[in-house]
Amino acid sequence: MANLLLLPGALVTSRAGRDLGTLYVVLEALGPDRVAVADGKTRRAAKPKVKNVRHLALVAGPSTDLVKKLENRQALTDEDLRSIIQGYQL
Amino acid sequence: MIILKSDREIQAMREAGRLTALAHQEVAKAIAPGVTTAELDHIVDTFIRKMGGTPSFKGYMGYPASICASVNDVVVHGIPSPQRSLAEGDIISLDIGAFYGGFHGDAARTWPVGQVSEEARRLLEVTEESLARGIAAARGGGHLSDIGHAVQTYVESHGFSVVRDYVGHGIGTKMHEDPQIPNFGPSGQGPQLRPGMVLAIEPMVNAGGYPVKTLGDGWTVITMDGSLSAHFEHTVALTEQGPQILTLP
Repeated sequence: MANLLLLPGALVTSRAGRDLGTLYVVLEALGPDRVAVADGKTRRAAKPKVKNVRHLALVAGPSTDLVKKLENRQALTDEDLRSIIQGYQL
Repeated sequence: MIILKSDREIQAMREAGRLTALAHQEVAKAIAPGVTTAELDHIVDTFIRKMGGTPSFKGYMGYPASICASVNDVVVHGIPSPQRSLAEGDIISLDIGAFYGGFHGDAARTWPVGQVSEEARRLLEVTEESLARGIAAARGGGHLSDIGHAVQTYVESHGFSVVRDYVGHGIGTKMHEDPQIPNFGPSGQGPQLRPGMVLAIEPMVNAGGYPVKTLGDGWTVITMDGSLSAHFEHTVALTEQGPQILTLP
């Protein structure tokens, strides 16, 4: 059974729990089933939410710019997160 | 964390893998126009339990069936249904997991239903061969991304695309263990491959573009452009002698 690939920087939406429908950005994988996510607003990058990957649906993969930033080991800021989410909502 | 398996554990996984492969053999006999995917699910569920195992997928993260039955443009995680009958010319991907002796086996295969189009036939051939190439690249001393690189290079040279959003995985006492195994990317990246790793290698290949989307049931993944998709998978142990497929009858 294939596993959902949630790369850091991917835009996801919650499909279970009280935050149903909320858009988040994946910050890091915490194992095969769990990832740390944040939106830069209600959930800051410094204190991400831990989500089960089955409770998330992928909305968009990470942009090329974001991949470059992550490859250079630059941490994503709250501003980055808000910009990714706003870019999708426009 | 990647959990390395001992020779004894790999031997036990071979039994779980064998049961998975036998379940594939059993259900393959029933694939024909008019059969529903729910009937195929029943065959596998009954067979695995009769042999003393448990279907790995049933109840996994709430998944409602014992197999994934993905027809035509469904990439993976198609939920079996009594309303979904197979028709001449369809292709169907069957993904089966069996838990036996404390370990999981996981394997997938796409079958033609009767006579299929030339494109479908080629898609199946290329996807199966891409799995073989991915397995061949899983050698001690190499790197994890060598697998995906081998798959992607072969698939794209034949004009098809590799799904990005879903990936292979480590496997053992849990069905999904580290590492994640993308079917794309440059070679020479990621963790070094070592004897004792057991990996579910599973290229998902689309006849059209690689974007996919998930339907409202939260499971069924389809190609965004409606093109056909194929899926082949084996559970593979890395040993001193090279990669060994565990999901063989």
